[in-house]
Amino acid sequence: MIMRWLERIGFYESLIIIAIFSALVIIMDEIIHARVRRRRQAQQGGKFPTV
Amino acid sequence: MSAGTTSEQDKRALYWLGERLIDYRHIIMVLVLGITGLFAYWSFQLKLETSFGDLLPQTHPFVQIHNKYAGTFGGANNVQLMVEAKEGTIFTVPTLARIYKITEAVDQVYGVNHNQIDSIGHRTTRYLRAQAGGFLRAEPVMIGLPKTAEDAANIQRIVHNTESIYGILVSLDDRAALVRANFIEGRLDHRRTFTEINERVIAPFTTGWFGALIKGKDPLKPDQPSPAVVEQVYPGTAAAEAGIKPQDVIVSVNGKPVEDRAALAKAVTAAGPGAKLTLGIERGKDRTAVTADIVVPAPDIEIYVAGEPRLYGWVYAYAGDVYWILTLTYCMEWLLRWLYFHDWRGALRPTLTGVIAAFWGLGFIHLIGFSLDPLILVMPFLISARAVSHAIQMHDRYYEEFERHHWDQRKAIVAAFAELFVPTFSGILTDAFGVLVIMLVPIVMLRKLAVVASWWILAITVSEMLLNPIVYYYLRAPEPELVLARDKGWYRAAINRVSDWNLSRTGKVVTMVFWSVLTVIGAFQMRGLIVGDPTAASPLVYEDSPYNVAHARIQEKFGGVEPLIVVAEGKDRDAMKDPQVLRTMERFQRFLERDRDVGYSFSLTDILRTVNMVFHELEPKWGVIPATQRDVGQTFFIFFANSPPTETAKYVTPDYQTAHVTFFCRNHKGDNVARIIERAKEFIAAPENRMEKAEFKLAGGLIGVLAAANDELVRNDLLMNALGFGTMFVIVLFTYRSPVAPVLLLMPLFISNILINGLMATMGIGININTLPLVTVGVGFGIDYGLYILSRVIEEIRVTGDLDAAIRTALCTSGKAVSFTAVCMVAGTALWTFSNIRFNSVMGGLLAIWMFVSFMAAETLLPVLISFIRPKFVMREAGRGHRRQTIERPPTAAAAS
Repeated sequence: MIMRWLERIGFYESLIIIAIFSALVIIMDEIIHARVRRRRQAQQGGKFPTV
Repeated sequence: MSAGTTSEQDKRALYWLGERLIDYRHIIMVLVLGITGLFAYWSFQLKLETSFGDLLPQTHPFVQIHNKYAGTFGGANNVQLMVEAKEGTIFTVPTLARIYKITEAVDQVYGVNHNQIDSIGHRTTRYLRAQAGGFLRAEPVMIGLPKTAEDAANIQRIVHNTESIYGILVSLDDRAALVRANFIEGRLDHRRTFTEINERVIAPFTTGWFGALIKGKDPLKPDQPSPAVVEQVYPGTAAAEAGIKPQDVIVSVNGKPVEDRAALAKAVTAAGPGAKLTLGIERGKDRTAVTADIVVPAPDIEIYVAGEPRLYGWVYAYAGDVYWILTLTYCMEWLLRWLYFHDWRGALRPTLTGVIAAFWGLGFIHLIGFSLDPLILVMPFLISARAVSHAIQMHDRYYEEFERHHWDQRKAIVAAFAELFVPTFSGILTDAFGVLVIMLVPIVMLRKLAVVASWWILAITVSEMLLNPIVYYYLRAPEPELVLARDKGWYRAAINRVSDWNLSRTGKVVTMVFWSVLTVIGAFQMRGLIVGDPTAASPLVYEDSPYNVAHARIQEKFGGVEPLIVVAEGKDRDAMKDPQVLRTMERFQRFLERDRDVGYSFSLTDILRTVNMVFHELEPKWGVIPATQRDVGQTFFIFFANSPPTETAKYVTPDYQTAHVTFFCRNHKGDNVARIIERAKEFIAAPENRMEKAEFKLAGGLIGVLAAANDELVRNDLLMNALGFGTMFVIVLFTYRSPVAPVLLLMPLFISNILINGLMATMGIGININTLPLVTVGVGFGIDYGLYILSRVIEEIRVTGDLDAAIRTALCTSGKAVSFTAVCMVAGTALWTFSNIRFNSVMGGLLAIWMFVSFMAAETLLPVLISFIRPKFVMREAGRGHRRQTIERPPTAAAAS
């Protein structure tokens, strides 16, 4: 069933799936990063300290 | 985290280069993207096709003979189509009529050589007919469609009495007929041939068959409407009984409209045998609407098609696999990299490297006039995986340097670039030049492939060395918390633990013993590695695939269908009328027919003996070659007098100077091909078989050209491996300026090569023109694993002065990235195991195993070897650097991690 569906993927379908998947990963990652940044801002008031 | 060294002094040129790349980033970026755009444009022009001539070693004497005579005596691109009656014999009116029409349809397929079709339904297949007054005439077996049972019985009688037909074009049990067609090499279009055979030759006579031949779509005008017009109605069938007539247009089935033959066939097939259907028909010029009731008959014939053009047609039909494999591979790799780097930039950056290198590679293929073969589709994935692998190493190092350089992005970028420049560049060079040795094999396809693969691998330098610092500079730096978090995960802990065990006393001994035992087993197994195909079935598609089923069935019915053409080249005209030449040809046939894998043979002498016998009232004792040249000439005249030269040329050249002996072999297994050729050579070399007026020339046909290709592969295999390893040796020698370094790095590679060759022998994968490129590309893969680890060991020993500590740090840093790289590469190629093309599936799996073995050897054996040998070129670096300033971990980072 899955294989039959997969075998119907052509060149353009492939490009669309790849683009959507990449975008989803980037959005998900940015959401996580935004949370990390907010937490740091709350604790240190912004920039990551260096030695 | 490693302490690192301040090696800026040693590599100040590289640090300077890194800085300048960032300074001039805009102009470099525009330049590289412009060229990449151009290559991308060319990439999209690329076609998927196989050029048969490119697969052959053109300088080999066999191939030169093949090229010289393929146009007249037949080449290697034969299609064999077998029509088998499910019940009874083929000698019924509807079945013979279909064989005739099928032959006609085969004659219309694009690229077919119209004079090289063998079938009882073709004009060139003749028999001798005695006429009043003692004249003999060679007439086609079937001049037209048989109409009555008497016609069918007459054809049966002719077939049974003709030695060159019975058992060769009609099976001895009368249940199957063979249509053999040779295709012109220059006009081979595998996809078109495949489609036309399906739609013109097979479908009209099998799918939804009820006794009428229905006109199908014109393959050249697929968009135009093509109603189901009846072309022919065969006597004694459901269509004839229902009163259907030629030129009727069938417009509906049980009231449901059908627009063309395909829709009609679908409706009839769906109804199934025994179903009663009412066909709506438009008849005559005024399109009078009539109906006809038919009872759908059970399928009474089966059509099997085999031969190289058909095989490649199936491969093309399955080549669409590449899209879903690409999609899944991409998504899986993105996910893996994101999980590893905790940052989408870590997933994106290697993708950019892979995509840019792929555009440069694919564009270059188009630029040099090459096309992609569906059987090397694994190769782009493999090279892209290499590109991604280098990018992962670089990205990992960037994170490490980012932390070390006080979260200063620019310094981190430059340091990562400079520190990894040597192992990355060296890895790319060894891969690229390692592949280039395929050039040694004088097969055009392999040479083109060597150039392309080498260029593609070199193109990795553009994105990895030139563009990499710039891309990092454009992208926002990663969150420090996430960089630090990477040192805390389970993956890091597992790598640490394995490294500790591996470097312990027990670990070292176990590692050495383990790899030694595996090497011995591999060396033992690889004795079974063969050159050529290892099985009778084609290894390109699965054993139960329609192609292999058809191939096996045809072989079973006709003994052998794969031709070996030996040319008897005369020194002068009429040489083929010389009885001594003809007797030698006959002896040659009988000699080679004794081989278990030669089904039967055919030559001019068969015609001669038959004609002589018919001329003497079918007395078997006259079934011999006439004693004098004059008698031979007269006998030939009887047979060939009514045939145009285009028809007779397939037996003998018009000046009777050159003819051929064709042996039809049962399979093209590598060892069988070698043995048959060896036996042929043995016969030709014997003094008693020397001919005064002619000499035998090997060899054309599929078996001949395969023998040539296998011959070249055997001749060059050892040299290629030696040169491949030699190239890598020299590059590593110059990189580390020590002969011990290449020995250390090539040892794991050598072992993994032995193991893979052993595995290939065990799995029944032979070395042939399809497997060789992939196998050769795999030889160098894995050297960069060792390069990254060794470079890091040298880097670390400068600071610590302790070899084992340096090795441990190298394994926990570069080794960790290497292990992740290996996971990505194995995952990237392993998905090919689900391909419908068996060859791609097997090669994908094999390469995945290969990369895993190379990684394991580099990650476990190499450190142990370095530790045991304590090479001077490593030890002399001890204490030459000093420890970097340790950076305090900020409190938030600790909290975040």
